[in-house]
Amino acid sequence: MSNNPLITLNSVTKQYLSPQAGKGSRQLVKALDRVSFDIFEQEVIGVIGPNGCGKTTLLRAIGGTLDIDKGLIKRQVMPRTIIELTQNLVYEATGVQNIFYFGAIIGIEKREIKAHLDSIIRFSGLAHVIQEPLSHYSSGMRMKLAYSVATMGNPKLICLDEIISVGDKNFSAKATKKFESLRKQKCTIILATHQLDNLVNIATRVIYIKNGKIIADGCPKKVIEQYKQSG
Amino acid sequence: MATALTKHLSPPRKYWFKINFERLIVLTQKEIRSRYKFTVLGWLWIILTPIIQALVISFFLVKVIGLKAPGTETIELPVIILSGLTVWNFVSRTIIQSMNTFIMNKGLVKNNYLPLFLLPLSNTIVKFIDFLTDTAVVLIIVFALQLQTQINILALILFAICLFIFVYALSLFFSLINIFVRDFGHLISFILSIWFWSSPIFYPATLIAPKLWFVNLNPLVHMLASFRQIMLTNTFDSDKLIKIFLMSVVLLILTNFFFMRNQKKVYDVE
Repeated sequence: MSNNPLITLNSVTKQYLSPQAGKGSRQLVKALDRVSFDIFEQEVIGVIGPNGCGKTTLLRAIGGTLDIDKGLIKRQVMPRTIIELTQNLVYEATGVQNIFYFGAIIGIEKREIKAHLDSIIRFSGLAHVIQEPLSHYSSGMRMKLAYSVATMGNPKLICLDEIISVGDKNFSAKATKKFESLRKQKCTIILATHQLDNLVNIATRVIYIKNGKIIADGCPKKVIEQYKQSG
Repeated sequence: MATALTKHLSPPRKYWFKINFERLIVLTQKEIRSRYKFTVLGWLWIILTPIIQALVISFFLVKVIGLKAPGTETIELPVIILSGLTVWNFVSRTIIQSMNTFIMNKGLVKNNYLPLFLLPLSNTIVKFIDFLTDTAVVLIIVFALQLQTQINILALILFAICLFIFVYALSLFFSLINIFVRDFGHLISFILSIWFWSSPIFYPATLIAPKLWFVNLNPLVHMLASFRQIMLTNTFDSDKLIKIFLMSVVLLILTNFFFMRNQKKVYDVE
């Protein structure tokens, strides 16, 4: 493991105008409040916290799709950020066309997608419908296809939002295995999740966020315990 | 008060050009696919649309009304109007499409890091394909009516490049402006309407009264004149083309500066 961080966040702050409950006005809410930490190679970092605490905002800041108000984000590598899986699909295109589309969007070269095409189709378990338009797929099938593309190849750093396992029981087992293999490939993983039991086993570090602030950052067991006790 | 440090520092990506070129291709394909989804004729509409438009204009304006522009043959009128519409459709449709590009694709841009200029660029390319097919239809009519026996392809290519730069520059500006001021989405139809009638689209530029000197500030006046000159007389004014090119490049530099400075606002689009 290198001592140089892959990504450094220094006092990152982001405010949103959010509607006030029961009132017509809007108020400024801090989605990230002076967030600072480093991400090192081969870490599996879990990001936990209650709904609306800033987990997704943090992943978007790391992934470069957030207009931060203050602070500095320094990246040695551009992460592959997967936030809403099926947002990246084109329903009028076929499964194969979507593999090339989604792959290109997340920055994978066409020749690499071609090299992995068979394994993506096999992994998704959708070979029988891969030439059909996505409008014919169920939502579960779309999830499977998107997950198969998102985790293809050998990413150096991947950010996943609430995505460890998707689909039915069989695919979920395959997805968990894929997650394991990403770890073995020395891929750095940042994972925002509510699945705390899973996280204790897979994370090397957990960050607990509340109201946009880092409350705790460290050993998964301790941080998860602190989060549970905070109610 | 000290200025807050707000910065994203990212590494230079290997194969940046190749990866983004491939992104541009898939975004362009997506645009075209979504346009012709659920249609029986699909991509054939790219060719059919200008043909139908040409037939309708020729039939009603020339055959039914018998309209004739001063100093021209009746037979030339459909070509004058169609060439005007060919340029205008490219400009106006790209602007309208660009106005909504980040709103329609907010899921895509908020979830994936990609150079944002690719979206207005892919819009411009899709409409440019329409422009090329429309131009081909006008050319077929020019040859069919024996107004020309040959065409200066080089001049046509140079003109198309200038027009593409001009329209892409506008597309960069309009794609962002609608995010800052949503009212622009409603205002644009009035703006385009004024621009349409103040440009010699349905009439030749020779009809504009000389005292209306300010009309010449409209870049479309010069573009339409150049396009019609190439299509109808097989000649071109190289000085005018150079001026159009320089004007388009300056506009691109300005709108690109505006886009690069403000593009991050796209991530906050609701």
